[in-house]
Amino acid sequence: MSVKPVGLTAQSAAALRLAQSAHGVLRIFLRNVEKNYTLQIDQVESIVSEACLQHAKHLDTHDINQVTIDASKLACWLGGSLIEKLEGDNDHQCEVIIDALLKTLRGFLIAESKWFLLMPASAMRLLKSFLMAERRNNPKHGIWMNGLYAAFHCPLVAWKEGKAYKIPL
Amino acid sequence: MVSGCQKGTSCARYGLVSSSLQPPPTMTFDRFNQIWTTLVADRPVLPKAGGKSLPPLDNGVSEDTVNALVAASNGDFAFFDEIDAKLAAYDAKK
Repeated sequence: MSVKPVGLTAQSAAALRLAQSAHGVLRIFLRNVEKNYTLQIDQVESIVSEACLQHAKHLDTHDINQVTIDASKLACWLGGSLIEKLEGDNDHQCEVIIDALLKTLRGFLIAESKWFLLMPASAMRLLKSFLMAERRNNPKHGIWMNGLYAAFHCPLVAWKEGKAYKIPL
Repeated sequence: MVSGCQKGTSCARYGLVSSSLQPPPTMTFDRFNQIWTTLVADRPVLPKAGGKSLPPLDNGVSEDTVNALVAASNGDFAFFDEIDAKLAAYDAKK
C-alpha cells in the first residue's frame, strides 16, 4: 500500500511556523504546571512524544486538516499524557496537572475570542470534577481529554460562527 | 512515575516553597521540532478506503493567537501574562 507524506521534506515557512506554535503550546502548558510542580526533561520528552502521536491520530481519525495549530487539542494531549504517567492513587498530583491544563485552555479560549468567552470559575470546577470522576473510575460521571477539548472547542467555534453570521446583517 | 508534588516535597498546596533552583523543564524548539516533524508533520497517511464523502474538517487558531504562541516558543510570554494578570484580578473579585 502506498503512503503519502503529509509534510514536506524541506520544512517550509508554514510548516516551521506550525511547529513553532505547537512548541509555544508546550511552553505555556509547562509554565502553568511548573509553578506547583517539578518535571524532569526526560518526562517532558515522553509526554511530547505521546502527545504528538495522539495529535496525529486525532487528525487522521477525524479527517482534520490542520490549518494552524489546534492549541487546545494539543494542550489536552500534553495534559492527558502527563496524567497517565501518575500513580493510580495520586489524586493530588492529578489535580495539580488538571488545574494547569484548565488554566491553559481558559487562556486559549480568551485569546481566541478576545475576551468574549470567559470560562467561569464555577464551570472550571465542574470540568475538574468530571475529570477527577473519570480518573477515579467513575466514567458515567466523567469526561476525559476529548470531552475536555470539546468543552472549550465547541463554544468557541459556535461563537465564531454566530459572529460571522451576524456581520452581514 | 512522575516525581514531585507529594507530601513533604515542594508544592504550593502543602505550603512548602516550590523549588526555584530547579531549571524549568523547557524542551528546545529544535528538539520539539524533530519530534513534531517525525510524528505529526511528516507522518505517512494511508489512503482512505472508499473515498471521502465529506470535506475534511478545518481547525486551528487565529493568526493573532499563532503570533502569541510563536512568541511563547521564543520565550516571550507577554501576551499570555497579560491574560493571566487580568484573569487573576477578575477571579479575585468574584
